[in-house]
Amino acid sequence: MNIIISNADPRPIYQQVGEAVRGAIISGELAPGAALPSIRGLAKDLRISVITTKRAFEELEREGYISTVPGKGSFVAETGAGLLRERRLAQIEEHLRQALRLGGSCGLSRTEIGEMLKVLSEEDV
Amino acid sequence: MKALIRKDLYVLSTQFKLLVLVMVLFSAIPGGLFVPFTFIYATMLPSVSLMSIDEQSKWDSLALMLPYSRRQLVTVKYIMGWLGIAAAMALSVASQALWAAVGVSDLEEGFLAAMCVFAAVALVVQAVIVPVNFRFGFAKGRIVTVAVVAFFGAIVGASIGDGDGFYTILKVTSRIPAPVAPLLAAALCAATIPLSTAGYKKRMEK
Amino acid sequence: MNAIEVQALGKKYPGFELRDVTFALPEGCIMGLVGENGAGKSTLIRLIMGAAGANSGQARVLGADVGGPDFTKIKDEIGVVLDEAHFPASLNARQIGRVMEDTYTRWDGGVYEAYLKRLDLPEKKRVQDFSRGMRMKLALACALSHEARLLVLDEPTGGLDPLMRDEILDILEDFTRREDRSVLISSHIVSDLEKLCDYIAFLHKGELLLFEEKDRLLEEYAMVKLPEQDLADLPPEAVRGVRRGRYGAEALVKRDGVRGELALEKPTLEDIIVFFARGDRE
Repeated sequence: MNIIISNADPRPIYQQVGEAVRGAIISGELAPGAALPSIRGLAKDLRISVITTKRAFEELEREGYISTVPGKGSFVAETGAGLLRERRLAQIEEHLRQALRLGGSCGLSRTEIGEMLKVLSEEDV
Repeated sequence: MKALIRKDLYVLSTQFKLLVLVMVLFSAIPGGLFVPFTFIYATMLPSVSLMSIDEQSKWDSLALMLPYSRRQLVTVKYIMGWLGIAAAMALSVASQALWAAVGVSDLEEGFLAAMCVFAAVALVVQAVIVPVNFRFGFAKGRIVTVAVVAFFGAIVGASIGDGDGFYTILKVTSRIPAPVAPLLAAALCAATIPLSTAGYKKRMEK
Repeated sequence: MNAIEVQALGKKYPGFELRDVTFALPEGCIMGLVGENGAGKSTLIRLIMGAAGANSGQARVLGADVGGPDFTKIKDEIGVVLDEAHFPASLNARQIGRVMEDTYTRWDGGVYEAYLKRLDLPEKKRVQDFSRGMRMKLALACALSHEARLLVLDEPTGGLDPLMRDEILDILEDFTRREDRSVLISSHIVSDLEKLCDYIAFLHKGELLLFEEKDRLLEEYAMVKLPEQDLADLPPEAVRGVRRGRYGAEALVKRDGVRGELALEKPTLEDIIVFFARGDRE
């Protein structure tokens, strides 16, 4: 798992850590049940604060992606990946809905918007 | 305490080889005329030598944060002084006895008693200069140290210069029961440890 | 448990006073103590280590009162590195190791030798022939070789080149991999502490202007750059410090105290420290 902490990133460090772990979970790199590195070990390896790392893990746990067994460490929750996928799908839907709304306000037809999406996705690849 | 003694012995062996050598030489000069100087050196060991080195390296600032008590940091200097005086005595007696045995010089009557008196005087000198150095630091304390040691040295020097003077001292001192004087002086010296500790505490507060 | 707990600590010297210092460092954390030369960092460390007595307030370290009779024993579990106080310079590293062996009940000669090797320190060379950096490394080797639960380091990176500083920071990160180990490190070089610390304390002219979890501090505050005349529009309670220049002004503000349309930049720890000190001046 790669975790890149960047000062240029406007997000606070605990969010950057959380996002990296979420990314590894959804990509399957961290399978359900897999053990996460210890908070202290991760903090020391990343050279970031222990408190911040703890905060990132606490947030992940609150969101249901990981679970922590006292004395044993943290593990990817069985439902973690599915949960995350669902949430992402909901987010995508919300964004697309907004795109449609904006398109409507400019008088774009559904086909034109679909065309735009196609162009964009070709550009990206 | 063992750690502190070890440290001071290392400092002596690395920094004061010459001083130790001079002490050995003076104690071994046939006739014992220079034996008193051995005791002067022995007195100067704990304060002038070791404390000045501690001060140079700012050892005290560090030592107060290591697991030593102030009392231990003070007491070790007394112990080094006592070791010095004991060594002076042992060296002098051994070397003079050796010279007497091989017939180079005679062992004066009352020589041992005189040793005891020298040791007693050295202890009294230590009881004065060590608390002064702990309270005021070596930079200021050395003035007192030099004055006291010079006074002690002058008396001895005069007695030697006088020719018979030294032997006069021996005659007088041989009447004092041998171990009484040094034991009293040692007790007096040890009694100044709390005084030194208090002075040291005051100085290190600055 | 708190590794260090300081309550309203004060100390008066002629011409200098440390006033009313209060903070608590939780066990397992690294605290960076920042401040200009003469701010009182060394004085605070001496009080915390019981090397000087406080005029007011109290300090507890590893659960024990530093003025109490048990504190000498507690110091057995503390490793100390001081900026300029050292072993007598005529000793070599091996001799110093022997002295430390008699000093600390849990001294580990093997660990010490490993550190001497890792830090590239000769065993038989007199300390007086060491560079400043080497002396610092030797002191660090001593502090790390007796299973200490707390390290107290006064300006340990002063006079070291960047590579060496980085190595020392690495060693400190390693030291705190165990969660019962804590570190108090002072430095006037803020960037050394920026990465390392969990908590940051800023001492300025004898007063503790700041004691805060570092990342929260960095999140809480932001820098804004704006024309000088716009400074007045900032809510005064959100502004912590201001720097006026010829072509504009900069201000350190509380993120949640200003309106959204301002372009807020992430501050560095150095920004925060400098602006806190400035705020104090104005």
